[in-house]
Parts: sequence; C-alpha cells; structure tokens
Amino acid sequence: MRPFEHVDATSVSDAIALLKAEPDGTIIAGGTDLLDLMKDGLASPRVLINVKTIDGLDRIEADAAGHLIIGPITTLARLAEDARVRQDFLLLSEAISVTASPQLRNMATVAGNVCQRPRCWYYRGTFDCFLKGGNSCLAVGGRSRDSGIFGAAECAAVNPSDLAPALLALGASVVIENAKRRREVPLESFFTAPQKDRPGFTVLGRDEMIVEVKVPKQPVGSRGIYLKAMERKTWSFAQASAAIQLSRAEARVTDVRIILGGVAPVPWRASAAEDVLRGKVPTGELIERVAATATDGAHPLGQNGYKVKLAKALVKRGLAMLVDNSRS
Amino acid sequence: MKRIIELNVNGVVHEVVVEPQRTLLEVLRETLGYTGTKKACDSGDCGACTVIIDGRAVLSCLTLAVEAQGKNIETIEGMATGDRLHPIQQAFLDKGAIQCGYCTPGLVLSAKALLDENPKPSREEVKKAIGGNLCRCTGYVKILDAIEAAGEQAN
Ligand SMILES: Cc1cc2nc3c(=O)[nH]c(=O)nc-3n(C[C@H](O)[C@H](O)[C@H](O)COP(=O)(O)OP(=O)(O)OC[C@H]3O[C@@H](n4cnc5c(N)ncnc54)[C@H](O)[C@@H]3O)c2cc1C
Ligand code: SF4
Ligand code: FES
Ligand code: FES
Repeated sequence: MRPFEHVDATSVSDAIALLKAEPDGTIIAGGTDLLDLMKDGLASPRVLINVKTIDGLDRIEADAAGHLIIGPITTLARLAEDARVRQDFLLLSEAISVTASPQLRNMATVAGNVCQRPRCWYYRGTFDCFLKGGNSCLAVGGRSRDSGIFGAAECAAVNPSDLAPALLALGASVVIENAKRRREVPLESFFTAPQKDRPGFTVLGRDEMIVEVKVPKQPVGSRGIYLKAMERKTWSFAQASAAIQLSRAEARVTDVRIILGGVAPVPWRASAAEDVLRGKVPTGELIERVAATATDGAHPLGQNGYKVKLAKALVKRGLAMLVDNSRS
Repeated sequence: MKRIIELNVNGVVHEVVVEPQRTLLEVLRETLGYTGTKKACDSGDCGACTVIIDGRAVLSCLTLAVEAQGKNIETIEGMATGDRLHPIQQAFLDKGAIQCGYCTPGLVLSAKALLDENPKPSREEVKKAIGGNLCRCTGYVKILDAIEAAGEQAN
C-alpha cells in the first residue's frame, strides 16, 4: 500500500472537516473493501480518516416513532444479532447471515457495506475499463457471468451488497452530512448507475459522510425474507438475490416491496411485479405472474442469462414462503 | 508518518513503532515474531490470518495495526498453557484435522471465538463459524469433528 496518514476522528464534525480539508482523504470504517482496493492500487488516498473512534456511531436504537436508527459504524454482526432487529426486521438478519464470512461480518460496517465498490473481474484486475477511466466496458462482450441484466448505462457491474436490497425492501434511508447541511436520502435514490460525468455508484459527495441509517417501522404482521443464490454455500457474492417485505390484511396484500440484488448497478426494485401483487390475494398462479413480471425488461449479456431464471425463481420461492402460514 | 503504539497480544503489551499502512498481520509476523498467524491471500478470502480481537474473530490482513491499539488481541501463540495444548488444539491433533497446517491457526481461532460464545454448538453452527476459513487439504470433515469434540469436552 502507498503510504498515507491515518487520523482518528473524534466527532462527526471533525471527520467532515478533515474530509473537506483533505481532497485526497477517505473515510475508513471496517476497511474490508477499502484496504483491499488500496493494496491493489485501485484507491490511493493520502489520508485515512478513521470514524470508528467517534463515540455513539455504533448505536442501534428505536426512535419515538418506532423507527430503527442504526449508527454507520455498527458492524454487520452486531446488527444481525440485535434482539429488536431479529424481532421486527428479520430480513436484515437474514441478509447479513449470508453475507461474506463471520470474520468479515465482525469487521464490516453498515455504511461501508452500502458504499462498497463493485466486484467486476475487470475492475478488480489490471484492466483499464470504463470504470477506471478507460473507453469502454470490457464485460459487455467479454466475461459477463457476474454482470448485471438490468439498468446498466456505461458499466455493467452489479452492486454486490446483500444488506442494501434488504434495507431497500424495508424502505430505509440514509442520513448524510457535509460541512453545510444534513439531508435524509431514501436508499432508493442513494444508489446510481455510473455514468460518464458521474462515475460513482452512490450520490454521496466526496466531502460527505453517512451518519445514520433509518429503517421505518413496518406495519403489524408485515414479514420479510432474503434469498440469495450463490456459487457455493457460504462466503460468496450473490449471483442473484431477492429481498421481499410483504404486508397483508386478511388475505389481501396491502403492501409489498421486491428488491433484486446482484443483477443491476443498483439494488433493483421490481416495481411492476409489486403492482401485480398489491391489493390481491396471493394465489400460486398470481405468484407465478409476479415472478415473471419481476424480470420483464431484463437485458442479459453473453454469459449471464442464467440470472434471469435465478431472479425469477427466487421471487417465486420467496413469495411462496412468505404467504405460507407456517412461517407466521 | 511513523507512530508509536501499544499492542496487547495474548496479554503482553508491546510498544511498537509502525507506519499507518502496515497491517496487523505484518506487524504481528514481521515486527513481533508471532508467525503462527499466517498470510496467504492478503485480501480477505482465506481466513489464514484470523486472530481474535476483543472476543471476535477478525482478519488481521485487513486490519491496520494502528487501529488495533488498545485492544485485546489473541493469536495462536496464546492458546497453549506451557506444554499443555488448548483443548481445541488437542482435538485437532486427536482427530487428524491437520495436514499441511497452514490453515490451522486461523481455524483454531475461529473455533475458539465460537466455543467461547457457544460451548456446545450444533454441527451446522460449527460449519457457519468456520465458513470463512479455507483448507485445501483436509476436506473439512475432520476439522468439524475436532471442533465438536472440543466443544463437548469443555462441558
Ligand atoms: C472475501 C469477501 C467476501 C465478501 N462477500 C460479501 C457478500 O457476500 N455480501 C456483501 O454484501 N458483501 C461482501 N463483501 C464485502 C464486504 O461486505 C464489504 O467489504 C464491507 O461491508 C465494507 O464495509 P467496511 O466497513 O469494511 O467498509 P470500508 O472498506 O471501510 O469502506 C468502504 C467504503 O465505504 C466508505 N465509507 C465507510 N463508512 C462511511 C461513512 N460513514 N460515510 C461515508 N462513506 C463511508 C469508505 O470511504 C469506502 O469508500 C465481501 C468482502 C470480502 C473481502
Ligand atoms: S462492468 Fe464496469 S467495472 Fe466491469 S468492465 Fe465494465 S465498466 Fe469496468
Ligand atoms: S490472509 Fe487474510 S484472509 Fe487470507
Ligand atoms: S491442512 Fe493444509 S490447508 Fe488446511
């Protein structure tokens, strides 16, 4: 790794002031993605701003309205173990239980996870593709096994996070601060597909910090599930995943969110599929239709057509499991 | 810029001068001589560099030494008492769970982190706990047997 300075931030305003003062400064949280990128020369900050030394940023608590407030440096392991999370936001624990490895879950933080860089083989390797300032995306027409089937602009890489689709299915938002203001951004508009003039995967500015993740209280009886298809049973990134949160009154679906992971540069909301289900009684036949709709408009590349089938199957299985009363 | 930090390894406090870019793995092995902690992938993929920090199994290749200051670091060197192996180490020997041995320290520490929390895990729980430790030799079955046996013994 190229030498750098390392500063322990003492408060959020301290961290933000450092980010502003050091154009080559970057926040380090768990370091599990950043240090790997730095070892490979894919990131070379001059100053690392450690935010794990800031008091109170690892809280997990409910506010007066019952919304869950998660501090940005909360580790994935602690979030998954939290009694309130297991009770009311089980989807998060499920997604984390299939994320990375136990050691990585003990290190990785919530904010770091939603800000992680893509895992595209060309990006992590020694290729000058679009994302590294080159002219074109090499995965299109090349090794596209792991690429996305939806929503790509210039870069076909997928957002590799398991937590992000789960948070989105719960309607979560992030609170972001810079020196001038504090804003709350729904996760749905936090993630972006990288474009020519804006190569990032999120709307986060380089002098900004995530200071909180907020998960709204779910309706009584609302339930979620996270299903992930992977190459081996543990410790690999999603080939495709489905995060589903379903609310019902009597037999009817009052609300549903279906978010697909591993298939697009952003956690991919299957809105049209949700619309098919909302207000209806979820019969087996209807679930088939919802699952088919979830992958409408997919554009597979040479080697990733299998993701269309996987995504469809995960949505179908997830919904079937959620409406099966034995799970309530 | 170099910094003087204190690292508490297996209860012994070491004062070391480190550059911020040095990983805990490098400092443990190269500066302090704790070579039981292994370096293989250096990128989070294999678990060979696993140590326990404040009770949790973590990867020392993705931890900066400066950030381990003031924490409780446990390495494989801290497991045995004198000549007496720790029950997990003994179980690895008894069950034939070691071949080349490169993965062993990491696995033993992942097992310790598990058994310290949950002394009688199910086989499924053991599998999950060592999900982040790769072994190219044994095929894992004997490792699972060893950890289960060590768990039973502790009770
Ligand atoms: C072998 C391996 C397997 C993995 N498997 C999975 C998997 O299956 N599923 C999955 O989801 N992930 C997986 N990961 C990725 C892992 O989850 C991420 O590396 C981790 O979540 C990143 O969190 P961190 O705290 O370590 O972030 P860091 O590496 O510290 O930071 C990552 C980025 O986030 C930024 N950042 C951190 N905190 C803030 C903040 N508060 N405000 C603004 N920016 C911030 C940093 O500046 C940096 O750019 C895997 C990683 C490895 C190495
Ligand atoms: S998918 Fe993105 S990261 Fe991968 S080669 Fe294309 S531009 Fe590069
Ligand atoms: S050396 Fe750290 S995980 Fe492989
Ligand atoms: S014994 Fe050789 S890698 Fe496990």
